[in-house]
Amino acid sequence: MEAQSALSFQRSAARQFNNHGAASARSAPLDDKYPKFTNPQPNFSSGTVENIFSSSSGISPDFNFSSVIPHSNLSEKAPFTSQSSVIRQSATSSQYTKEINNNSWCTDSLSDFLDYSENTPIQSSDLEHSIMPSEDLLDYPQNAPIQSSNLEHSIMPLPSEDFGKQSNWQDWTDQLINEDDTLTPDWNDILVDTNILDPEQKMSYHVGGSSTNLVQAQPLIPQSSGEACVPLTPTPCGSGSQSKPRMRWTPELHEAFVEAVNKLGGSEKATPKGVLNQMKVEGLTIYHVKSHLQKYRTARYRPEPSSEAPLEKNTTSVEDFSSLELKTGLEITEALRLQMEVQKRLHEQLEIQRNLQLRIEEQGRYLQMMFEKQCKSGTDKFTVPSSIEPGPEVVGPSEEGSSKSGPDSSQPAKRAKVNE
Amino acid sequence: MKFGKEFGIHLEQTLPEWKDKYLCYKLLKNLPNPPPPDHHLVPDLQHWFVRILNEELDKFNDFYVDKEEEFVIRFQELKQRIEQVKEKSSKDGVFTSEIEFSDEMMAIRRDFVTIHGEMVLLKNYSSLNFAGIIKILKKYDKRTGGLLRVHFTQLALRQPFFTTEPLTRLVHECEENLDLLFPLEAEVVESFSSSKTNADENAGASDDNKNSAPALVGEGGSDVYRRTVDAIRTIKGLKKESSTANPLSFASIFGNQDMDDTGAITDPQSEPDCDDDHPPK
Repeated sequence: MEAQSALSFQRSAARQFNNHGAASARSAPLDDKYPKFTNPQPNFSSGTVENIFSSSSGISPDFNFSSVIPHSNLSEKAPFTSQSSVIRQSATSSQYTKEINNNSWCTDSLSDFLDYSENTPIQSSDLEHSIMPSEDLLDYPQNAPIQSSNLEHSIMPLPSEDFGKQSNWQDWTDQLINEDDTLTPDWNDILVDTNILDPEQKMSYHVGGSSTNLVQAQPLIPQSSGEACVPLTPTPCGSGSQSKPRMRWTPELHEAFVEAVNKLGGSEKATPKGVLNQMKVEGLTIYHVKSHLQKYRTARYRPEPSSEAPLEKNTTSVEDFSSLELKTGLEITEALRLQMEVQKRLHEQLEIQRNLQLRIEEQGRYLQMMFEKQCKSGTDKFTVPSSIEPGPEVVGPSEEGSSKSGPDSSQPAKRAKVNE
Repeated sequence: MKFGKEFGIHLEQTLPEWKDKYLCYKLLKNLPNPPPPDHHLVPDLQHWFVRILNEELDKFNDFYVDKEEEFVIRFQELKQRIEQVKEKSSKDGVFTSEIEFSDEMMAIRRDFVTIHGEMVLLKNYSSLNFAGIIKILKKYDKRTGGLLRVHFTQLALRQPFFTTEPLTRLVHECEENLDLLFPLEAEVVESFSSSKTNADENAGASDDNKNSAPALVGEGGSDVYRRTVDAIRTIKGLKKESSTANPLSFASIFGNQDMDDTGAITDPQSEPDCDDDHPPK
């Protein structure tokens, strides 16, 4: 009978699906490659941002480098001062190395998992602003290229001492009030604080932001064994830890969670503590598990709202039921297909848009860096336009990009003229 | 249309619970205004501004990570349901109720489509907010003569709400699953429904599909559909934005290359398809 053949067909389709689905579950194909940035520029962290802020704020109201230069030594040193002060405060180069080592294992697992990014090419550059290597390691989807710069301008991996600071708004405001021009180190603290904000939240999120990353749990994805690390956006430690450290649940981690829950007898019986112990995932706290468990329970006992409504509709009356089925069986499927097409289209558009955004921002940053280099080397700042030209050897689209970024980089040049 | 306007319209169209998770674009775009002439105050200003922006980032991150978690859970549940249906069908020699089976399959399909739609909408959320932040930074730099944008952008790029790769992976996985769930759909459904009658209904269905799609798919589905269409419209509208359009810009060059109908580099204003797609809503 046709009906039977339909059923068996569906069954085999389901089987086929299952096999594939299993494959999907284990190794989600990474179709969307993170756009490959060919230029070797380091990723700016907000650590760098902070330094920039501090240097400019300490020196002049205008946040631009042209004004830095006229202030001669002080200004020239300013970025470095702030950074070195940061170094003094928070990290020595040895600590940097140590922390790199600490994180190296994480890098490995990270690169295992994230095959879509050029994951850990470590490049040295002589750029003055470095990044937080930890942040690059940890920031799992994006921060591929990890670059060490000259250690004199190294990073700001902040140890726990800085965490103590950030929870202290009073310090923040006091420093603001008491600032004078030489207060670059303090600006750094403040800026660190700024980026951290409410420790409970900031700590969790500012992967790019602060200081928190190195000492924190790493946002690593569990190995295929399902253990080891947890993709935490950095959580606070020590005095910074608050009630609600957030983290990003990956499918793998969730699978481990479900396994643990099932072992403990199901979502109702399982307790957060039990699940936590069962999972044995480093960095996972009971708060994470608790909230996740709650969500999980909700999802199980109230599956997909869209499926509930029509099903209820279907059971209201028997006559309606059968006629509804046959009338709308095909229609529903077609409608779903149509909806999928529209959704896929939107997704495509979004991917395009995103790639564009990334490329543009990367380009802008590259040019910015070139400009900074010019300023730093103390050469004529009016050569900014010419500094763009050497670009092509580094990155292909730079020529195209420079036409767009031209206005941006010419602006500081104009300002430089004015300030001179 | 201008970003602010498109953004505002989109906000109106979005779910209420999402609405206040978006960027406060209107509020922030004019800060600081007027730029304080007192230079001494500017460091404060910048700090304050950065702080505000960081708060916005937090807001995005919270919402995004939360939603992401929810999707992970729901997605896994859906896969679980398929397993169960499969098991059930392989256990019983003949399915106890054909209708039940296909009901469940239909429900699973519907749910997959819904979750796919919601995930894509979350990506849209992420993209719009990021774009808004960039714009605000640009305006800020313009007003204060600062160079906040480049550096803060780097910060924003790394935030969880903009690192959407995991979500994208889920979306792709969803699409794959759905491909399998719709195998030769017409054949299957037809044989199912042909055991009754209603050939006429089927013939007439395709015309009504576009309009009835939202209604048929159920409330959750129709909402997603409507929002998806609105999101597409928003993106198109933003592409036509005139204030920063530049034939030499990246957006024109790379954006147009990816368009279906324009292979060549053209001015973004001249996209032929933009006007056709505004749904009469």
